[in-house]
Amino acid sequence: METPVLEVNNLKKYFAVSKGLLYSILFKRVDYVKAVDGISFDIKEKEIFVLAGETGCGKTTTGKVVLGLYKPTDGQVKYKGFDIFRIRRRQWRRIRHKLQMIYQDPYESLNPRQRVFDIISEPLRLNKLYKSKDELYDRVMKVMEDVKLVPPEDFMIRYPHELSGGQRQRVAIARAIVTNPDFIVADEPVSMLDASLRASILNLLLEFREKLGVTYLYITHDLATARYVGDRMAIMYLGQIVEMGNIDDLIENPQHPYTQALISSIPVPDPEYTRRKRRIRLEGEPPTPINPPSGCRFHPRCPYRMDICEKEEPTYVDVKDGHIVKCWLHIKR
Amino acid sequence: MTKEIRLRQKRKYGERFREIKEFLRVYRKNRLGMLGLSLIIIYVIIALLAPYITPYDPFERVADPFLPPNPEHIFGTDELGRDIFSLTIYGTRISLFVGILATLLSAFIGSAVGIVSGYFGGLVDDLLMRITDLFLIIPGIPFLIVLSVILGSNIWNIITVIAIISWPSTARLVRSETLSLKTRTFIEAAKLAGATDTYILFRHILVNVLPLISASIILTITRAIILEAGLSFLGLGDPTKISWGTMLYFADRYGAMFSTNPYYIIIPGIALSILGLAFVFVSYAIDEIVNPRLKTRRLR
Amino acid sequence: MNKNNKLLNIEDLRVYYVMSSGSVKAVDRVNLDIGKNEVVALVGESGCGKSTLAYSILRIIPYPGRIIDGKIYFNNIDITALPEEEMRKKIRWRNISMIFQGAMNSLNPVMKIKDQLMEAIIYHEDAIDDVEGAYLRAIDLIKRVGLDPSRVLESYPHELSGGMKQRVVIAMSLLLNPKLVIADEPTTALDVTTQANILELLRDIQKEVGISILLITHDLPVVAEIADRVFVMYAGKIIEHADIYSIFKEPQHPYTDGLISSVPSLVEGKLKKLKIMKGEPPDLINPPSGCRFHPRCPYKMDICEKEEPPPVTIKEGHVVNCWLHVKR
Repeated sequence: METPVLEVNNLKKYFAVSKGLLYSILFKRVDYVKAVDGISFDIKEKEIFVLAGETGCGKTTTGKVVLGLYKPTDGQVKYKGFDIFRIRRRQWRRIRHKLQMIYQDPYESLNPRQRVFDIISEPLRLNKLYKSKDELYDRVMKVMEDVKLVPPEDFMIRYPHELSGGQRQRVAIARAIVTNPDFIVADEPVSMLDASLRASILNLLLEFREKLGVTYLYITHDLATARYVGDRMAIMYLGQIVEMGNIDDLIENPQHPYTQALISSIPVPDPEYTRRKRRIRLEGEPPTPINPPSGCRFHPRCPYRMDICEKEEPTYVDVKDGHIVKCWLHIKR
Repeated sequence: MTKEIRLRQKRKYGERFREIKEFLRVYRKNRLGMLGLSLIIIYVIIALLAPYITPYDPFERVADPFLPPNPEHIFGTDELGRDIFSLTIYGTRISLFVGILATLLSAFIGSAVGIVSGYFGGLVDDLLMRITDLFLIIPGIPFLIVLSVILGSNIWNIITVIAIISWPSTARLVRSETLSLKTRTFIEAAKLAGATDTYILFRHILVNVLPLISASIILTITRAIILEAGLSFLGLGDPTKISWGTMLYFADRYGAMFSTNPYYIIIPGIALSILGLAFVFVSYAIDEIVNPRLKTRRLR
Repeated sequence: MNKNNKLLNIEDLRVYYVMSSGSVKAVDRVNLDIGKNEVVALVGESGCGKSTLAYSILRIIPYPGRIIDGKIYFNNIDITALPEEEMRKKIRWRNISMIFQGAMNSLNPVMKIKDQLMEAIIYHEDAIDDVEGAYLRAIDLIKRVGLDPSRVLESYPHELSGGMKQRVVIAMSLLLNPKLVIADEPTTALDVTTQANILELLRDIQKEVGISILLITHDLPVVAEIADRVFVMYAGKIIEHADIYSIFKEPQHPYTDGLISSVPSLVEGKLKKLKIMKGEPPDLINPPSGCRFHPRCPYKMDICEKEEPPPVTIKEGHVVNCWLHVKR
């Protein structure tokens, strides 16, 4: 069996809640936000794996841990078989540029005082991935053509504030792919863009998978775009994956009550369909990840709540060809 | 093809000063700012050309003491019979020199502390900020007096002493800006690209706090010039150099206000006030341009 | 004066931001109407002038913008001609209120919800007799937006979730029983499940109380969910309007069509081939000549560059401004 590009095993990331030194000395305890609490998944080569969920479910934190930006509290992240938190620093420096990220907000992710050429060429310069000045220019030109910032000469000398939102996001993408990465975390890459520009950015990402063999972790709350680009999807709720599987199967036959509610809430750009569909209404709003509910974390809002849900945490059940769900409804007792 | 790019690259460097040009274009519209700037330029020219402007050697006795203004000495003479006009012109040199040098020193210390403290955070931040607090709460003038008594009255010590009490406010300012820059995702993106901390500090943080540092420099200069005058007025100045502060000190000491020549005290006072005001005007003007909150809102 | 019994009728409205570098023609000869008990959506991308249009209805256009000409009839009264005093006393909030974009984040953080609601009631002092009456009204409104008054009224904004704050903002817009509520991106920052709840709430209130809503958004799925009629705005102009079903089923303007076919659908997934619109929206200081969409239009003809297309009625209530539909 081929090794997956990314393997995540029982990953946990807790953030200490600072209540002051005095508090922690007096009460001898530190509260934690359990942003990510024991998740596992793997992503095969050239796959687009979607991590979806609502605000505060831990999806962005997962993306950052996977890139080595945060150290995990527990668990493993393996890139092509190497545990990225165990390998030597030297070796990590060599492969670090193979893992990149595309951010949500192109106004924040570009240095306002750098020119487009400097922004895009920076990863090459920092990793000395070029032999001559000419090669550097050529590669930047090439990648700018790839992301359709044409003609490149017109954009090279501009500052970010002289570009439109769509153009900035193209610069950010160019910067991410200039090192020929194997793996890219795309964190809501189109949610800040206007509707008419989104499709072209999404298609760009798909194009790079075909041309360069890039594997993606696509983080989003927007299941419609997710379904357009994704192959497999995991739904997160309060730091845990509640359901995971093939994206079409998961959206057409959601098994977890949360997924069902989520999918039924999403408006569809077809007035007849969207007004006919039945919506599952959820009680309340997600609790904070500081003191998550006992047992199944979804139980306080679940329409099918049973006694056991409050007491014990459910395990994963495979409902169909790797479509797994974490819910007592599917556990035969 | 690459040749073509190089040509375009060259044009890029031609455009390097575009931002500065744009800044000057906006600045020129600010009347108060232009007034301040012209005054400062005049002072600088006076300081540079002092030996050619002054009618008399300021260190020489050229007439009777405390002469009131007369055709030969337009502002009269001091207690030793030196020409007040010539003394004031020479005083410009020391005031500007001390003000600018002390400010640069303080900006350097302040920016370094602020950036390092804001960027690294944690223990480094705690330590540096407590030190900064210590310097901030020290009562300025008494501390200066004690220090200059210990170090002795020469011009370099005065510069050092002024820098020591001025840097903490710059450090605070730079630190808070760094803290907010640090959370912007382009810093994280640089880390992903393989940048080291030093690289990020210089290439991403410093270039973005530079406008703030330059604005704070203008304000500090005013303070430094006044401080120098204050110190000298208290008799802690460098007695071998002529500054407006030392002039005021001697004028006060010999009761110039009630002598035959009150201009001895008025002239250096006016010179000092106008220079201070000029810097304040400039800093207002810069603040109006640089500070985004004062700019008109962007249209949606 | 006015010929129909619409609630709001905007005729040939022009709103420019006049600056030294040129005028931003944010709203340029716009016609729009809203009937009684109707949800009308104004759809467009950022910078197309849709928020400015909303501000002009309340006459709160930020400096240096102003109404150049055109009329806004509200209940057959031209409110562009009303003195400011009357506008403030009789129209603003009393008759037309607004849910501002991001309003839930601009609740005063140091005031209890109760006080913020009552302040607004008491400010319009002649609307209510006494403090007690104001308090009862606040309780009533909080219940109406589906919140628990005992929990919410005594809270500060930071103690509430995003969805709850948005409900409070909706309650505030309903304070003085307005006839028209303008909602500027009311669900943008909210999570999917919360968004669905808020949309449902707006729909319910609209039916129950009998108000009209002008929904301003760029989010087409949300429009499909809630609106009765849709106006599509592009670069300061209304380019097409129709009832909700016609717009989505038979869009006539290439821009409307492009917009609808570029939005991914949860149901169709990869089966829907997304259309890519070339270029970006123009700047409104020097908009393109003729039809403003011509530089991006796949069906561009010679005339599009030269002349502005006249409105063409496709069928009752479906009007499009495009040369493709003009018979010559």
